[in-house]
Amino acid sequence: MEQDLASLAAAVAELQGNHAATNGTFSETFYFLTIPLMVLIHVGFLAYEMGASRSKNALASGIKNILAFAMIVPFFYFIGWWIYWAFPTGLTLSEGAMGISGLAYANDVALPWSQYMGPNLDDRSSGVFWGAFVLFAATTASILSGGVIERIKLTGFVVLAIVLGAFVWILAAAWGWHADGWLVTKFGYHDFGAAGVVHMIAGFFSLGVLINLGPRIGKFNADGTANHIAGHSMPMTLIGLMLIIAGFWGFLMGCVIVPGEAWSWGNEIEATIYGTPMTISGMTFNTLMGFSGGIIGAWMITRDPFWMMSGALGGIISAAAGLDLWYPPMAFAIGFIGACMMPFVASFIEKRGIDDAVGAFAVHGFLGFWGLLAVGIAAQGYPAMFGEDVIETSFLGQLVGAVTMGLLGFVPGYVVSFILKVTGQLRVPKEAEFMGLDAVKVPAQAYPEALHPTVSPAE
Amino acid sequence: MEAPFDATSWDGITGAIYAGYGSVEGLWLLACLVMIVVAIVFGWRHEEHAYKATEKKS
Repeated sequence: MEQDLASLAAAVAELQGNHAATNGTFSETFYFLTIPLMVLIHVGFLAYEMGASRSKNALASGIKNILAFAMIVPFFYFIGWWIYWAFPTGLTLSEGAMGISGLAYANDVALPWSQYMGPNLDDRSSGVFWGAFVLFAATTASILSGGVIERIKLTGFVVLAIVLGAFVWILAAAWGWHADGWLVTKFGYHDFGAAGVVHMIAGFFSLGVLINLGPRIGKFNADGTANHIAGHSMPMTLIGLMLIIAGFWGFLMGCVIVPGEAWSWGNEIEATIYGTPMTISGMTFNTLMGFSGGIIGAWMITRDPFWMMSGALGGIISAAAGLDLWYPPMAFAIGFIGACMMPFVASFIEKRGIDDAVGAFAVHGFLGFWGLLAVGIAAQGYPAMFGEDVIETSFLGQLVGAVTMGLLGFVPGYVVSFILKVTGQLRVPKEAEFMGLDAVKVPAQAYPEALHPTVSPAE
Repeated sequence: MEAPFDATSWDGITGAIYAGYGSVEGLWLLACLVMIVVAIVFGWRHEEHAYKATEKKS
């Protein structure tokens, strides 16, 4: 009998070990796979921006986008990851109630010389989480990159991208996308899919930059009316936008905390970053419904394929903050309404003399704002975080969060770009803008055999 | 700049295993930062020269 019990215990221990190894590998792989999927966002932004540029600027736009991604990786390693763990409770560096924030915790897990910031046989999560967050950071820079095409200096842009991707957005994430974040614990802020901490931040940062950068030559007439400056390849832009949508699935996977690990919120079901229960299945209903509502709403208003695909993105962004909570037709309606408003917001911005080449503010800034408010309007009363007797989601909480995100995005974008402007590091000279940035500074040609216009008319 | 443990087998090895752990991280971090700054300065100089050349042409 004793021998049977001993062999049974050994078998159970072996099974537990195997289960832990399998679950650990699954978790590690889950976040690892978010990274190539999110790289698709950057493939998309690359195609989108190059297509939206005139052919004389196509490669310069591409270089800007590629370099932003590359620059953010090391700076996020140096400082960004540490900011996320250090500042959730505000700027005091104090520890929050969950015990996973503050100066001591950040120094332990996220300083670049910490034992967890490289290969470590006892840590199968830090690298893949860090990688997923790097891709979120690079997304913010890509959002900025689209709006400022065809006239920004590359080095000035690199500075802005580093500030946005390695400092600003991650501070927003610490405040509103962390279980100890003060917006969450004090106001019940809910932003599951990063409508505020990624999209609003990047959109408002872009707006601040665009004000100082000024419009492209020829965008506005003397009487203030605007001209449409068409990109050289609408098909490339549309495919790029669809690739961004494909990458969004990885982005949303990165918003989920899987169960069963020491750092998980539980052993049974997935959770949001706040520790509230959710399912990937439920998120799938709502993501596709928001996507669909966005396309149909934009099509109804504009009939324009550019805005239809922007509407697809905008529909998901509109529904993003509550993708874990919506009744799917609600996600459709929120996406539809957001996409219907989006072209009017873009037009409003343009009438103020701001040249946002791809509608970055309308799609990301405004619809991120709308998405946060939508949770406050239609998903009030949910427990906002892990634990007993916790604060609930509310309109006021979402409004406070939205205002905070708007200011946290806009002010640094405006201030840093203003400094670059007064030091002559923001905008290219007008001669270079006329000639086209590819001919001025790119040692390669986008179309070396030239773009061939259509042959003579059929008649 | 070597293995952070003295062993001839992986048996029993746990924790951080990256080369130089606990000794030379600061040096490599500084090297990375210097490389990035140098690259940005060269990029900035290339841009400025390109713009000046364009202004002269026109």
